[in-house]
Amino acid sequence: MTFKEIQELIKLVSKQDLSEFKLKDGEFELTIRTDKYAKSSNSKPMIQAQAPVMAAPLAAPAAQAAAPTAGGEGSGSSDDAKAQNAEEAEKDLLEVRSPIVGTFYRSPSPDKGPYVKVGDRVEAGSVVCIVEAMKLFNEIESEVSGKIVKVMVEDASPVQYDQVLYLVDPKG
Amino acid sequence: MDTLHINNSIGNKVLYFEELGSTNDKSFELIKSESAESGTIVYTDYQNKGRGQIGKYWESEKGKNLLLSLLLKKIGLEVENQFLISIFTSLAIKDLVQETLQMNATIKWPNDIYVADRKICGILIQNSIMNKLIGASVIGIGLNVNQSKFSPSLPNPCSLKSITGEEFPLEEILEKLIQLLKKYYDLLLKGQYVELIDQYHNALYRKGIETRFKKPNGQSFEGIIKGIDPSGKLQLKIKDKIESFGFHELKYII
Repeated sequence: MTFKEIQELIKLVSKQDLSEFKLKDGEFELTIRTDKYAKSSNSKPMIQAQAPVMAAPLAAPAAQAAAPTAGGEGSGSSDDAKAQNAEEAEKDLLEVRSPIVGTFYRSPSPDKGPYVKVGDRVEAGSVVCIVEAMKLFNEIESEVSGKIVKVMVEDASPVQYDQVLYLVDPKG
Repeated sequence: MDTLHINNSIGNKVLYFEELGSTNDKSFELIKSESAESGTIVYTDYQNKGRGQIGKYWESEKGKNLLLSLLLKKIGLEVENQFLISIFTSLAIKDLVQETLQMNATIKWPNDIYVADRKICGILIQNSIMNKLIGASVIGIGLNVNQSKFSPSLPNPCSLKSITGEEFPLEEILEKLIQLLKKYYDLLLKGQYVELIDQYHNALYRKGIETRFKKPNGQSFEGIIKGIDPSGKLQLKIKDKIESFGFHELKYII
């Protein structure tokens, strides 16, 4: 489905008396919600089209396959739509960045779970990962509060100075 | 900077526990509950979950060795200077081993302490970072003192006793270590970074000697150890060119 076709679809759906429209075709999934959905469910109106594997920004080629942000929102695979939506969605998000060159670890040790997962809430000061550099293990504390919406780096992979590690939704 | 106003209180308090998961874990617990002052030493006879690097363990026979963590709070050191923590600690332990044995000891980059070609001490440093500053630092030290048998899985361990045949009183070794940690931490607090780096260079294992290394892909190569760069990377002279290597970019072939 192209971006244009999605736009057409949005127009069509908004003219109908619908609160939510879902389309699924193989791996491709699209959900369009209108004002009515917002009123009925108390959530904000939104149109979300995400690919099963989200667009990885160029800076982070090792970005994790992100889980869909929250239950119910659909996924899509149109590249245009994906890029645009990812951009728009990330506009209001905060970033947790690496303060140092090193190796990123999501959990304190391989037999333990990750410090944070997508959907977890973090407060300023919560430990979100380890960046190991020259055998010093640096527990990175978040400078921001909100909900983790995306993990940008794969466990045990190298990170650069200032590389984005997590995206955080401050309203989450 | 904050650091300059903080007293060097290393060893003012020594907390002893018969057994712990690990002294580093206990130290972080104390930091979180705000029940330990900066400079506190957490000391135990036995760790049932002794830690090494990520996913590795530190083995030590009960009551035989020095197992401790030094806990430092509000260090205020910029994270790019983190390697200085490794440097001041390594220098203190190197001096301790050297003075106790009356024998040369070296620092195998980045922070193992060696006597000849054998490892006598491991260091595990964990920092907490906020706003690009090191808030707290927990420095775990495992110094082999009176242990004489080691797991065959360890490549090249040694202890003070395995070298001299003598037993050493742990309390005395601990007391000496505290004095030396204090001495080198003082240099850090006074901002004498160049002095610390110089001393570290002079103490490096196989400094100036052609040494064999292995890359992560298994390829071996030779280089002459020159020193470290400001980030703590190892600098090697390979065919008249200086190259820097991070911790995961090479292994020594000993």
